[in-house]
Amino acid sequence: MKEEKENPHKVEVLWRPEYGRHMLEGTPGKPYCGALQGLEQLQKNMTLRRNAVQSFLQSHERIGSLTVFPRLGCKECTHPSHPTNGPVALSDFLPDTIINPHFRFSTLTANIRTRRGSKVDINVPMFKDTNTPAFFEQEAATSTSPGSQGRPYNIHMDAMGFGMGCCCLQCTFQCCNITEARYFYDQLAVLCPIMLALTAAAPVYRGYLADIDVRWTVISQSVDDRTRAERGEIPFYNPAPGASNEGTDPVNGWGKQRIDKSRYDSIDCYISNDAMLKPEYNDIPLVMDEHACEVLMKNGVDELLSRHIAHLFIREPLVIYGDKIEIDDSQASDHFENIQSTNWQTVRFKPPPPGSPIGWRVEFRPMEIQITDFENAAFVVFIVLLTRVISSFDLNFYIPLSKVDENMKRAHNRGAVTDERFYFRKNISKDKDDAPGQSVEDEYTTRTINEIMNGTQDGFQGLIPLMHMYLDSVSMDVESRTIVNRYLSLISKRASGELMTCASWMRHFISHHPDYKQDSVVSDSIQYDLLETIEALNAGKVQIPEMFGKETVC
Amino acid sequence: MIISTGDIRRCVPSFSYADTRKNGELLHAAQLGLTRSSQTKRQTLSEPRDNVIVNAKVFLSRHANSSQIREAVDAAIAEIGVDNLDTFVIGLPQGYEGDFKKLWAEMETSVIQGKTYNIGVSDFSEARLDELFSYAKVQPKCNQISLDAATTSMLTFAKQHDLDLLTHPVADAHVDIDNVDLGSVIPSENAPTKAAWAVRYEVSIRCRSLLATKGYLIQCAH
Repeated sequence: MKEEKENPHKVEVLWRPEYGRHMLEGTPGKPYCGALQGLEQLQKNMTLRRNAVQSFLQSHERIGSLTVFPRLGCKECTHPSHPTNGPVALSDFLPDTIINPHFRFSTLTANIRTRRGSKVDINVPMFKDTNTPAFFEQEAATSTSPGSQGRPYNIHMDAMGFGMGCCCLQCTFQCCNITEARYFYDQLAVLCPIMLALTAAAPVYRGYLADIDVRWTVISQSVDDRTRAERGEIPFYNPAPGASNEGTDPVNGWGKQRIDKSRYDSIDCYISNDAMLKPEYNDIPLVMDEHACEVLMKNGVDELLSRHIAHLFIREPLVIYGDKIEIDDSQASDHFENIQSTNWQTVRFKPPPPGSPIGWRVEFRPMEIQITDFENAAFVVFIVLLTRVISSFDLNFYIPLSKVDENMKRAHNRGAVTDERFYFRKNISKDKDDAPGQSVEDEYTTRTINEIMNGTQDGFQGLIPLMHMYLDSVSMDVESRTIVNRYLSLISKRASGELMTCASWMRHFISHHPDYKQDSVVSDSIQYDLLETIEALNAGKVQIPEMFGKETVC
Repeated sequence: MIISTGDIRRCVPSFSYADTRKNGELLHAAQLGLTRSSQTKRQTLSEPRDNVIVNAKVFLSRHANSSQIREAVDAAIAEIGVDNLDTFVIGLPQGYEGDFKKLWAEMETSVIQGKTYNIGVSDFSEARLDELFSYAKVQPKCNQISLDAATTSMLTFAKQHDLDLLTHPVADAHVDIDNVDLGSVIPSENAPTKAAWAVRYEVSIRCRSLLATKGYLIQCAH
């Protein structure tokens, strides 16, 4: 970070604090330029970051890229250990010290809790193994939340740290103009559940094997600041004029309207002005701040974009610095960024701040982080190529958003990458016109991830073959192509099930560990061996052919 | 007659990747060229010339002659709507035994005349490249090869000669101009059934690495 202060334009890596004190966010010093020839730099930069952090650690410490720390929230999961039930999170499991000491993060935690009127109530299904009890004794003693009561085979968590203490892999793209940005936003949104399932790497929470493979719902529940009234459980304290059902609880009844989702969740509306966007695709009832929508439209913003922004503004600010309350909104976009950055969606549409040369950007946010730089680079390259083929071949992935939400649910399921079917558009080419009179329902079918990625016999190309056709068309040099082919081969085999996702491998490792008692409990010794194996993999000391085949990862 | 497809970027999902049928890609392109309306085929380059990279490759037969190279370059330039190409690559059947020097001389002429900035070859071995370097007045800028030909030896050789080693589609190995049967795509009786040469061109936008145009020209023969 000292480097960044001294040489902001030359530095190779940028570091940013993240929610957990045990977490770091690293990005390349400068954005990669669009030329595909530099793609091998991607993995090198990631390894540079890994090694840079490692050089600051003590001999018994390691940096790892894990989506979830398996025993986060278990007794003495940290070293040194700290007492739980601190004043910020009030968590029965996580000490407040897990939160990054910068006051932004503890303020967020406490404000989410106080706005909501209770601790967050995270519940995920536990994996039912042969000896797994419906209710663990130790759980009954601590858990009193409404969501966990009477729920068998349940993993309960009660703090923001369980969600925001997870890590992930995010890519941000600069688009050439607002039109391209809006189109990429929509198209990438459809691919979010697919990529979530394909990168699955989070099957353990609070030391229990879960029945889900990915982190998304955990984070979603961990920052859910909706009051009980907003969640539809009790009447509003101050309902809209004319509404009959007035409540009496000012805290739990706080709010203006029913809100269906947590502020961390998938998008609720498509925003592109492309002719391919049919109104039927925006089939989720959109909760908006009506006044905000009116103001935007009156000032020349088109309806779709106005509704999108107005939807972001149903949320209240969670944290604001004293010197940012009164600012000139025509000069600085802090107020917008405040709301924008605390709406955590699957994709994010990022307008340029005033006076900045940075363009319209789209952030792709669903992917789980993988245990090696090789995989992480592979998935980033995949997404880069995805945007290139969407634009080069004029692809169209539109399906109704309600189906994308259904796909998000399915993406969580254990083994979703091989076992689930996902709603997917039949004809992704803009070349063929739809048959006249064809209904929206006829436009899509369900496909496995293998079919989506590798294609089908009935003429559906598959995303990976399309990427190869794109690469064939842009005169790539053989060395770069060899590297990219290795990445695409890995992803192709993860999609077909020939290779295991990280989540599947972790389950396999845990259930075959000598200390495992077939009761879904991941003990400290099991966790230690798991992490040590991952460390050895990255050091080149062991191989995991179930995940990588014959590929070398370092 | 020349079959032109116009810009078929949107049709790429209808191609079969790694089509191993003989001339599979070309025949599919020919079919598109014949069935698409002239309206959909019309193309104009929307980006300024220095924002794009314009490449073309000509596929020749065993009876290739220099005038075909000239025709191919001119047709590509006219079709795309530019004054010149960035790289023009020559593709010959495996085991071609004709007078390559004459063909290369015509390639060089297209550079001298300003029709293309660079010229290149495809699937040349180190030995053939060595021979070419010995007499070429204009050196080849690139050699398009399949990935298995990218041996350490070839990579070293290319670096020494400042030669770009680029990939070409897998389907290129199955192009056989001498045996193109257009009868399967052109139904009418007196129509040409053979091909004399074919050109594939691609225009991509610099920096953003996006494909702006992709198409084929097929010179028919009887």
